[in-house]
Amino acid sequence: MGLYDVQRVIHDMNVNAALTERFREAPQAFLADYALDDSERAALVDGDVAALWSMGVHPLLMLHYARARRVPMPEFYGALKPLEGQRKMVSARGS
Amino acid sequence: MGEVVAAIVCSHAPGITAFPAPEAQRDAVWGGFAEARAVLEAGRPDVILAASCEHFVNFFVDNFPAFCLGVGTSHFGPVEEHIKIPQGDVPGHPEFARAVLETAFDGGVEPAWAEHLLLDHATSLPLHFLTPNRDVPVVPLLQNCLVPPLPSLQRCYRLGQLVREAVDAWPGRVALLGTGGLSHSPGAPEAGFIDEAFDHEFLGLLEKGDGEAIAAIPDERIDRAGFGTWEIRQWVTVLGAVPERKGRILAYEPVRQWFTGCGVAVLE
Repeated sequence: MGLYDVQRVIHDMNVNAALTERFREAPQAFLADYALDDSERAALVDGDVAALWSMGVHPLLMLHYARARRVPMPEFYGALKPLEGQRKMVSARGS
Repeated sequence: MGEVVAAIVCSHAPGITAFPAPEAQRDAVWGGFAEARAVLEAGRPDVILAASCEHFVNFFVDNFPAFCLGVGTSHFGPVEEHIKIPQGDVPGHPEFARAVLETAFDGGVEPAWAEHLLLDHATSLPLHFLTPNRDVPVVPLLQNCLVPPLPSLQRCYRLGQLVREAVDAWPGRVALLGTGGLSHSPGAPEAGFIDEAFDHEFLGLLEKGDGEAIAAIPDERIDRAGFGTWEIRQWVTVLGAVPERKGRILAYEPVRQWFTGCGVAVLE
């Protein structure tokens, strides 16, 4: 469990079309191969992009996930809009 | 010996080919790329050094290089099937790549390197406009613009200086390409925000050819323009290589439908 494992699932799907297909056809069985807790599993199965954003998933992985889960872009950004300002993407040191 | 025959910097938002946009804006951006292509072709380069980045295709947080040079004989891209760019192989240039690597090492910067790299829209989209026939060898220099800690702008400028040293010592015609930016925050709740003030100030410095001022832009300012703006690092790398040149802006459009302030410029 944890952000690494959630992001790992998304990255694995992004680089391996066969894994994306397995996720689409039988998400629970596919995700059973990863060390995820129930809330992480549910967010990935349910297309819950707000939950994934709150967990700290990188925005580019969010887009890869949306593609794998077939979340349409208007729905994706609609779900995220209320979370504007919740997380800051920071490159500056000492912030 | 060697010569920088063209220096092009540009955005690479996937929407440029993949999403509709107001016709005037799209035509302006595509027109900028067409002009850049003419500049590149006039230069008759033997190789393109493409300072670019990628988005969790080759690299994940289990192993993330600050810089990675593609030394392979060819590179496949774009990996994306949905951005209306034909997928295919572009030839590499192992010999020139090795020269850049060795010059960098001697100069105190050790990029990672890879004999096999996949390209995503960051590299393939600009190349689609600039070399649609994929007939000029490309050496990709992928820079971490994704997961902090990032190489600093100053460090990217330094690497650009070392690239220039390698070009000067190599008997050939080299085109430089730097891709990314300008202001954008894709995949985030803030994706609707384009910091036009930042983009215009940045392009103003580019027109003056003031690469050192650009490399001194505070990270906090870049963060406020959106994390996608971290990608200006590639423009900085090119500026480090051609500090004697000034920028000519071929296009700038803040395209809401593409979530990005899109710029195309050449350094002359």
